[in-house]
Amino acid sequence: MILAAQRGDLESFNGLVTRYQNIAYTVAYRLLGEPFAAADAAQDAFISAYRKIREYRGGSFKAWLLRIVTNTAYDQIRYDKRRPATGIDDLPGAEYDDGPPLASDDALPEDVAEQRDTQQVIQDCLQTLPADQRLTLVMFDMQDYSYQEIAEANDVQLGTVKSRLSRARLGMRRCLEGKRELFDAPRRLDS
Amino acid sequence: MPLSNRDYDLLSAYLDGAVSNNERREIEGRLETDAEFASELAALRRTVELVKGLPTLVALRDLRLTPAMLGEEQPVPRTEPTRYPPLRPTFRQRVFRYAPNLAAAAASFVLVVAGAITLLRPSAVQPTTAPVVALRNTEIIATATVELSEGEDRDTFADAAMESTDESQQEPGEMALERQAADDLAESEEAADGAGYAESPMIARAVEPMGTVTAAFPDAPTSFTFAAPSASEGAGAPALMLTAEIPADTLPASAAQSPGVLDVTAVELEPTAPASTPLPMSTATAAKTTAAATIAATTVAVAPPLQPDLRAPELQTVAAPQQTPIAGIVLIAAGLVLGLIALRVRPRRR
Repeated sequence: MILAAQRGDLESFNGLVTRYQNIAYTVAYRLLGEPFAAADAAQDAFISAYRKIREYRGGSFKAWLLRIVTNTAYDQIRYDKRRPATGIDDLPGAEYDDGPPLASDDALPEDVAEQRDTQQVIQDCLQTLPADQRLTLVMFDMQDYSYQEIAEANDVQLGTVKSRLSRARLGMRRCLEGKRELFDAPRRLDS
Repeated sequence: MPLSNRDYDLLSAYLDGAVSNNERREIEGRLETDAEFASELAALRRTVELVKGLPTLVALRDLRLTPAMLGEEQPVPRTEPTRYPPLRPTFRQRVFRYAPNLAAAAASFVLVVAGAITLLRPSAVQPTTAPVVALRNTEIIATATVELSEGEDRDTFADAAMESTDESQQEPGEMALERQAADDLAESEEAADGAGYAESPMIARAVEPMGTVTAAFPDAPTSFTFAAPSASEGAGAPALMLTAEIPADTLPASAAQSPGVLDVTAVELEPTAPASTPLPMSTATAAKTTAAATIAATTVAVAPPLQPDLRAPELQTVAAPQQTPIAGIVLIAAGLVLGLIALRVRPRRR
């Protein structure tokens, strides 16, 4: 399928999109924290991947694709930093309209609301992190990149990656500690 | 004692197994003695578990690409281009492909039709020339002076004339003129000795001539009329006036161009006057009145052309010989040549 996509077969490439679009969207959402922006970023990432697919030289296609998604989302973060704007989701009460995006896993109805609350708390804490720390945390703890790969992808030193990751985890730990009531006792962070 | 950033870095790296052996021994030794250090390690481990436990989300929408999203910047396939079977040309492509042939064929058709029209149009039939039309209503008038041949016949005529004049005293009307003619004849015999009877008006007037004339146009039905000149014409008038009338439509065309001379060579007079004829001639005498007359001179005059006979308009025009239709032939030939070109020109290749 990848080879066919490299020959310009759009249908084959869309097969890859179908396979990876949820994970790509999830990564974008973890970085951006906004569903539509995440979908747009993932869409742009796939378009970019289609145009660059001839540069793919083997290895993990998923890792290659998610790097493009991460870069696209990170570019969006930096763009938003330069041009801050108040979106409709930033208006008071907007966070209660739709809630976080649904998980792809099936769950009992009574658990769905609780899980969504927990996930939203974690997502909110992610959004409190500086962009470089959030990016490093998402790449390492969600996408299973190595220190070295993150260093190379972001063009930073290996120690910087470790430091960013440590700061990100500490920030998440302190963010979640303030909302410990949302967690079950066994899962309390300070238990 | 609060932990430093280095302590958190060590704990974070320790969770990832990314510490050296020395750092590992340092961390594990401190975990046994420093409860807060150990508590922070547990809290970090749980935080990592929560982050990693976040589920994969369902994409907000279908992210498959469409050609419109890619615009015109689709990558060119690196492999050999797919060779598709030749497409059947569209109607427009076929028309353009055979355009030269179609144009030549159309021009050929137009030229052939134009040539045919040129050949067959009514204007190609030339109207009858004026002389021919005029000929239809032309009278050919032949005028001849008849001289009776010399001999006893002349006397017989004279005697017959004299006798009939004497025996028809009781008819003063018409015979008065004849009587006068007989007197004139007697006077002329005395005054002019040897004068021909043919030149005598008396002879002429005394005869009701019937005769045959051999004309120059044997195929043309010719009617001849002999008539005596009127008395007012005097003694110089011919004995008889012969008028030959030839129907114009039977007259040869050459006569219109050159009337020529009506070759009336001889006329044989047979004065067989019927009973109703006022000529008081006895049968016995009449039997002797056969005479031969020779037309000394004949001329043929063609009367001036009359106006076309409107009662017979179909006769006003006669199919004249067609002129050589050069233009039509040339057009048809050109059309045929173009037709051959249309058949031989190869269609354009795509």
